[in-house]
Amino acid sequence: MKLENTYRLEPKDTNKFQTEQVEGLLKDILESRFENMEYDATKCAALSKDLSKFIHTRVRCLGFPRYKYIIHVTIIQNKGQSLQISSRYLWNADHDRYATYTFNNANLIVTAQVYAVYFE
Amino acid sequence: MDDFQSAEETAFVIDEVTTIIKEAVEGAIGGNTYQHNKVNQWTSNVVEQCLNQLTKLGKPFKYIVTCVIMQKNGAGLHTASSCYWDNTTDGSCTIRWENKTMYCIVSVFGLAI
Repeated sequence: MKLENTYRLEPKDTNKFQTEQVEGLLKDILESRFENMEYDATKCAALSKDLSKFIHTRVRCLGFPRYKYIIHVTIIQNKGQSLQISSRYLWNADHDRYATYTFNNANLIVTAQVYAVYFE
Repeated sequence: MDDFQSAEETAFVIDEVTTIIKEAVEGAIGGNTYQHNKVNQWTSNVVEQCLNQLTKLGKPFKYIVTCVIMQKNGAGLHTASSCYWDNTTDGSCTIRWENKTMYCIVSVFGLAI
């Protein structure tokens, strides 16, 4: 069943995506999960998927209405290699935001980005 | 009443986007060896080139483009994405590219307006 859209061109001030709140959430999740973890190839494959779904659920629970989310998680083994991650976006800068957090310990580096795009 | 735009014009076409990404990566880092001082510029070039070409498609989409360039060192990398969107109109495309000295992974997410 496909419903027609109920248009709303911009979010109410109280309903805008709060970057600091989500960054705090990402920090808590990553620090508690990866505190003393070692890199293990087989486990980290499943762990990255699991982590992205978990962050997804928690961000949706924060309850910003009419936002679409993209959660991108990367787990890298810390072996002294060099790595660069960049992203660019084409969106409406008034309503659309992103939040990111990177955690590292001696064995691995985990980075998570949450992109929130407002749906008119 | 006719639809204002046909379905093909407003859907996220993975093949088109794949071609754009491959051309952008080849153009920016094609025959190069990994160089730490240039990698920042390379990732920016790849991403900006992708975004420019996607804009030229002229479709009513918002885009997010992410690029990861990693030196080949025997280290492992895992990446995962989770999306909350409208499956009928939105889509994503991820391309993995490599040469002798580095890996490059580019993801494009397109959300319909």
